[in-house]
Amino acid sequence: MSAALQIRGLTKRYDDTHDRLRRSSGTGGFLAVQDFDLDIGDGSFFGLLGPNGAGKTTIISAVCNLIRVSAGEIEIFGEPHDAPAARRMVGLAEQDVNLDRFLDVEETLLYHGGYFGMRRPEARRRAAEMMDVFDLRAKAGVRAPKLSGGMRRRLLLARALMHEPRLVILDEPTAGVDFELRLELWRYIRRLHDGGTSILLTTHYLEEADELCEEIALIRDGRLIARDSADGLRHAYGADSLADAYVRAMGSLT
Amino acid sequence: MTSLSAVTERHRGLIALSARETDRVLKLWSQTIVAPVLASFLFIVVFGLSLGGRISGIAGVEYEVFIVPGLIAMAMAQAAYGNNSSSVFQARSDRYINDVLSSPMRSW
Repeated sequence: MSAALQIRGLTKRYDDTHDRLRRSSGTGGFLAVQDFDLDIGDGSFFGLLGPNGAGKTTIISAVCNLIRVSAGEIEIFGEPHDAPAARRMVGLAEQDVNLDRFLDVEETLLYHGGYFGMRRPEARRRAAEMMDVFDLRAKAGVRAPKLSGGMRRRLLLARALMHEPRLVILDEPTAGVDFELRLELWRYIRRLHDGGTSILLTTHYLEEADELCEEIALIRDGRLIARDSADGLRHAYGADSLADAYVRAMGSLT
Repeated sequence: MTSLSAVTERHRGLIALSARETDRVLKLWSQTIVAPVLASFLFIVVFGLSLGGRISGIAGVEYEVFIVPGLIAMAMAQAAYGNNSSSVFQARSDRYINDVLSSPMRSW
């Protein structure tokens, strides 16, 4: 069985310099990710942890074709990540609440279904299902900017799941939400994983990764430092908690 | 999946994107429809009707017949350019364009 996600030698250099000579020699700009490898098994719940600027969002953006990579190969269930078949199998809920300001809740879901090639009746059925699951039915006709913060987060998750992806990427899904909503989102995400969906989660909340993820990768400066279960990381770094293991892993590089 | 169904699927994406743009234009009708029509009307009044009395004709064509279609076409081109560029600008600024960029649609 092919891996849900396979990354080989991923390198991304952001060209923020106008120096043509340095850019052509590959030394200019900012190197966000360097020669990064990662395998995520089908049906697994995988956490990607690291400080701000570690390269988490760059990796996710590369997987979802939002940026052009400088080098490397990415496969999703055995398909090249830029192939239509691979794109259909990925659902992305980004860190920022990036909802279309002109669309209401139902339209957001229906148009997303359309972009991903769903037939109209199928999209309507799935949108209704998503609105029920995420308690958005009463707000079906409300535009995204008029929703509360919690509802926007739920809509973001509903949109990512709309086309029934096999791999769901959640980039800090609980950033800035209150404790109750965080628990509610954890329940949604767990239920999703129990249904067989592979999940890649990035978060700054270590207790969240500890609670949800079967396996965790620690990254810093665009490089993989360690990869194991939460217990394995605690054991490897001789720590009592994942937070201690994280601090020791990050500190070991300075 | 057969290539035919893949093509159909891509067309569904294109149709959804076109429908979304049409939806946006209709929701913002005061900016996207009324404003260009009003601007066009004022141009026609000033450059067409007011100046028309002072210009006998151009290359054998009456001035109004010459200028009015041009002003209407100009208003349509400006509105088309303005609507599309502002839509893409907003989508990039708010980053909801990522929803389209990550989809199976082709970029061309």
